[in-house]
Amino acid sequence: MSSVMATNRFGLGAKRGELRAAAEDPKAWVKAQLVPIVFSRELPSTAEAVKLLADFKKQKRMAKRKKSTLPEDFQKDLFKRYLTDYFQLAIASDNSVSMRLLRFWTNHFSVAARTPNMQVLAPTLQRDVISRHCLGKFEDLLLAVTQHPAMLTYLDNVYSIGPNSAAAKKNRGLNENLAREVMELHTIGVNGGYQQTDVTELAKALTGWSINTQSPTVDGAFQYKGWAHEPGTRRFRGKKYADTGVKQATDMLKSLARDPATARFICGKLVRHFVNDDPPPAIVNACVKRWQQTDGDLRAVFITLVEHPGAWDPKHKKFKTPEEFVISSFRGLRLLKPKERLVARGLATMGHAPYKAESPEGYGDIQQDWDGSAALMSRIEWSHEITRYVRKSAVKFAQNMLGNSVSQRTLTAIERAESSQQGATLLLMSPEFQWR
Amino acid sequence: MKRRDVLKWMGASFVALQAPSTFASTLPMKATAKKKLVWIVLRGALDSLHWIPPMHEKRQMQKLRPNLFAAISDKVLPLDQNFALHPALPTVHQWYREKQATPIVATYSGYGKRSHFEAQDYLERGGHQETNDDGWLARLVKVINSDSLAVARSTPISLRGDHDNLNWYPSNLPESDDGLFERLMHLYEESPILSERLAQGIALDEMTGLKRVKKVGRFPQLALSCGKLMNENPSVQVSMLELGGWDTHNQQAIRLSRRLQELDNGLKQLRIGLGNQWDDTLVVVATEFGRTAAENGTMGTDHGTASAILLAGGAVKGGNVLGDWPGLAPSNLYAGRDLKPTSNMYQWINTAVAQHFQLSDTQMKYLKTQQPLTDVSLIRTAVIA
Repeated sequence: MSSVMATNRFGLGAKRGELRAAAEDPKAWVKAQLVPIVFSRELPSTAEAVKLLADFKKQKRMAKRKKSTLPEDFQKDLFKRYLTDYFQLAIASDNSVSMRLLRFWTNHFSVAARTPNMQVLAPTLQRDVISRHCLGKFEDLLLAVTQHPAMLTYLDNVYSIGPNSAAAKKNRGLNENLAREVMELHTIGVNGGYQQTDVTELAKALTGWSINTQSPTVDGAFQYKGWAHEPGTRRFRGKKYADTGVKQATDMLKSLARDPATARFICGKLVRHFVNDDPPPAIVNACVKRWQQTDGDLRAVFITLVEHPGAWDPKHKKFKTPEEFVISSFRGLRLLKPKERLVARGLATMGHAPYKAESPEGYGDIQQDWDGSAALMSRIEWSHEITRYVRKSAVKFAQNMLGNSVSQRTLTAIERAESSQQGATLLLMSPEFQWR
Repeated sequence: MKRRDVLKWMGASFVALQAPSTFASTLPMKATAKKKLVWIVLRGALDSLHWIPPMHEKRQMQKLRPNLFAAISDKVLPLDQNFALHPALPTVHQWYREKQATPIVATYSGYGKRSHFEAQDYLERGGHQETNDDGWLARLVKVINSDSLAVARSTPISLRGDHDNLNWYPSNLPESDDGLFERLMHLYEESPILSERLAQGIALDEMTGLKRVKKVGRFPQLALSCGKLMNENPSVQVSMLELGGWDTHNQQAIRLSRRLQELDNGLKQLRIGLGNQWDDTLVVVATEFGRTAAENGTMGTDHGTASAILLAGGAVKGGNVLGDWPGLAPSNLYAGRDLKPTSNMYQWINTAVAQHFQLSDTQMKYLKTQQPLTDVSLIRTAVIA
């Protein structure tokens, strides 16, 4: 039973053989999976992506001037390649617990790919920054995310100019979008204790945080543009911050990362994600305590969650998000290299398209966000479509995926199905597989 | 087994949906049983100064938002001597002239901070912050003993409650075979949630006949389907649509012009879908809060406080702009930056809903929308059938 839980509650569903591997010591199996996810270097890194976009812009300008043919858009294709790469990695992964954490943090720091440029930048935030820091210190993760071109663009900071800075000119000025969401969504939460003045002060401190489009380095593409920075001392949440250039906002972000409200807000989200829509306070408190002892060591906090007996209580269960459902289906059915279209169209129809969340809050994480009748119908239709490629009896798959947690009712339904396609669809749509 | 047969086999829980219009046409109905409400939530905070610009404040508008105001000022569609509509809203303008639309300015939900997500929850719960996850519209559905429909993949908070809400949203996947649905119904016999959702899903797909919508998700098409579904199913008196994309921190003039056009088309399609039931329909359009009075440094606006709501529909006694105007002079702004709220939107929504469905005080209390009713007549006098 608990090897099923290890692979489903904490991982992305069992691949063949994983239930057996996890059986002896499910907790140890989960912890052994905490290995940083490494993406292939074949696709552009953050710096390369920024460079590509800058070159493309230059070429386009040149072509316009010379009235020659414009260069062809490459962003959409590259976006598809990033997504395909991510899904194949997740489906084949031997460390799906780490993939789950990567997903959790990518949604926590949600960015949307609504413009061609963002289609290129958004995936690099996950590939280069979140994957590198999501088992490290929260403070490092927060700083690296906030300095990444995807976040700086998505929440408008690249356009924000200090009204009294050297770059100040008519019609351009402050934009407080990033400052607000950093506090409300990324750190202390909406009730974490801040006023409108704190938003404005942080926004001013963040002016000048921008992208180095000319010569990005291997470490990224962050550039502090002092000429756009609002000069002066800032008063932020009761403390004074002298004008120390880039350090001013960095210090503010560090203070947010260390705030107890941040530990509470994020541990609540983490326990809600892994254990129950209503996060059990005992587990949340244990995580918060560990967070404070370790200064926000995310690996240590997650291990505390995994080691808490309450996290393994079978009475808790979570309805899978569409992405969890899709990835666990491919893993279970051993469809390791699915066509991009099967993944993308399915997730779009189920309302969970990658990098298309409606707001910077990211996608919802409770059952009611995903269990509507239209969403269920899409899951059925999608399951029916992907199982066209299944040739074997689903009974075998059921054992690999769900072990002895599969119900007699489901087994009977699968056995009586009129085709292997129908049997596999029933397996994917069974209550045991819809919840984790 | 065909989908329709699966429905019959599933038994009585969805009687109302399975038998569209047969009951309605043979049994005598209370006049209010024909009344419809469509609740449209604009997520992301629509800037009311751009949506329903106060043309009598020309000087302040030019000072506060030179670029944003210049983008529309010579093309607006006039309402009364003070206010006008954004040029992308010809349908709403037409309705206003037909006395079927009432904009109400300087309203808010009572929420005083500036978080979208908290504000939307607040709005959908009925203007308060109770933590239990149910919505004001769900409570209305219970009071009038109706069915409800959300054009969404899952139930938005407005319609979360202990009644059975229906969700419908078009799919772009190939259809599964009907035999599969029958087997799934058996498989779900011990899983109440899944069996209920499946039954609803099958029923709604049957009824729309609109399953293969070309451009999935476009608001006008969703609004048309919503209207049709209500038209064909008299038991569904209440429905909800949502449209996002109003959080215009930059390039607001271009973005809002596209978005408002989509809203306007959607309203037009909703009316077409509703057919002759339009005359019994009240549409309420609301957004979680307003935006800053001044434009920001990136040709947009940041989070603010008061916005506006729109009441529309054949049932509405419209043709005027309501709500006290607080003025845009610096001293009149809320916290020195936002349009100041002069009324709570739930005063108006409560009044319209109470008049529309002829609800008693006790019934209104159950909605937990709390605000006192106004004595303004917002709904045409109901004709008793």
